[in-house]
Amino acid sequence: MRQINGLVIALATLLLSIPAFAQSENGYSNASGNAKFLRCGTRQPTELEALMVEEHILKMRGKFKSNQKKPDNPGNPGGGGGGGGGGGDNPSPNGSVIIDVYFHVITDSAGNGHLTANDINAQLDVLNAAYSGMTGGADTPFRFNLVATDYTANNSWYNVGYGSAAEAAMKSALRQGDAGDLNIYSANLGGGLLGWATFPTDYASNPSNDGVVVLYSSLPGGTAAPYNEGDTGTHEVGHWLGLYHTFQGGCKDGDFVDDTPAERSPAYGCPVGRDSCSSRRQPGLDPIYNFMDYTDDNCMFEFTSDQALRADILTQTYR
Amino acid sequence: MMYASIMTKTTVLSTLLMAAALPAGARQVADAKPAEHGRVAPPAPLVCDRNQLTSYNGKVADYQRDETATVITIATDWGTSETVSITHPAPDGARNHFLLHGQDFPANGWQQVETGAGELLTGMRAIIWVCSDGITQPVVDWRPQ
Repeated sequence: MRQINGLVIALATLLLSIPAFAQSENGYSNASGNAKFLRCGTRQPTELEALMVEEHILKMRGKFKSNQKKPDNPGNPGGGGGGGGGGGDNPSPNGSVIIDVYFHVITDSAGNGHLTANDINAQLDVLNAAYSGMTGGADTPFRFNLVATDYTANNSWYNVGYGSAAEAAMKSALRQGDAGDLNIYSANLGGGLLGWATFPTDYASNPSNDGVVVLYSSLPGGTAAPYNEGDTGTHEVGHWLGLYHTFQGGCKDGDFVDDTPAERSPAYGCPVGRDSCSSRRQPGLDPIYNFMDYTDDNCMFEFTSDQALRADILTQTYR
Repeated sequence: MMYASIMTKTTVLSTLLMAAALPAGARQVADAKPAEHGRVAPPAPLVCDRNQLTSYNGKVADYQRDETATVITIATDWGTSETVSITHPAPDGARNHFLLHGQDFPANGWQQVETGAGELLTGMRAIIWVCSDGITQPVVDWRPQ
């Protein structure tokens, strides 16, 4: 192992000296040929923090993959527990991390935005199908267990926006559980926004903000067609577990997942055969069927095995 | 499946490349704020087959607008930089290429996104909807915060 580590360091050092891989001063990749570089000098602390996170994940991934190959590996249930321990060295077995879900339904004073128990159970069914691989993708360690639902009529919270005072007040008043518990808020988000989420790495600095917010009509059978099969929930929970969009980094493939081909920008609809990064260095068609793209609900059906691994590592480490 | 096979064989190399590229990648991570991970539906006024649609969501980095054209460079939330050009033959025609929070651009829209003619509000965010049909021009959905 020491030899391998030495090799990695040596090659990484070598590659860092190659201009194509060296850090640019602007920090942006150029997905388009005519794009301009930008300068920003205010990000150093956050970059360092993010670098440490990715270095840790890289290290963990190596251990996980190594242990995955051992036939008698007993596994490590990890995750789902309170987090903060830095994670173990073993991947969690599929289906072993049961995440308690607290569902908060926000309506206006007229009752708009109301969801029935059936609506919420259907959303949980969608989550469990997606994360168990039943829809066609990789199985993952995660399953979701609804433990409580509450209803709040509040006109301000009903039209909650990202980063708003209403969001802070809503979450502060309603959030339950600890780092490993999933809080889902449904409301009438404006501006075409279907949902948003926090990352596992955000939890420590702002626990009360942790969770997922979705447009109430995006739940299965809702009115937000073609985004009404519950996959906004699937997508946002993916972020909550630590996954990035498949198009993160554009054609430089910055989602830190090996088995999702690079994608220049989001796909909509279901553009079969789309290949927005067509150079030989970026093989594979765009991952339009992946839950972490922006395609229609009836188009996306899969997570990849490396996404499952990344989510497991981040969850074991931060949740 | 072939892709998966290729990726398996290149995992070690990818890992090394990722390690080498981490500072830039980490910067992309740092740029990725939670709001920017919101899934957005294409706005109703948009006329484009969704299969031919993409979007550039992010912070406007450069902006030039005159009576006949607008050129915008946007630093996307996923760490890329994109530049789009929109031509609009008459001043009023420009309004057809813009939205405000996903809605039709109002008559007083420029007062909400500019401090003066051609001078954008600092820190302006936008979603630029780009249709690849070869006909439809980009549409800029301004998202002042």
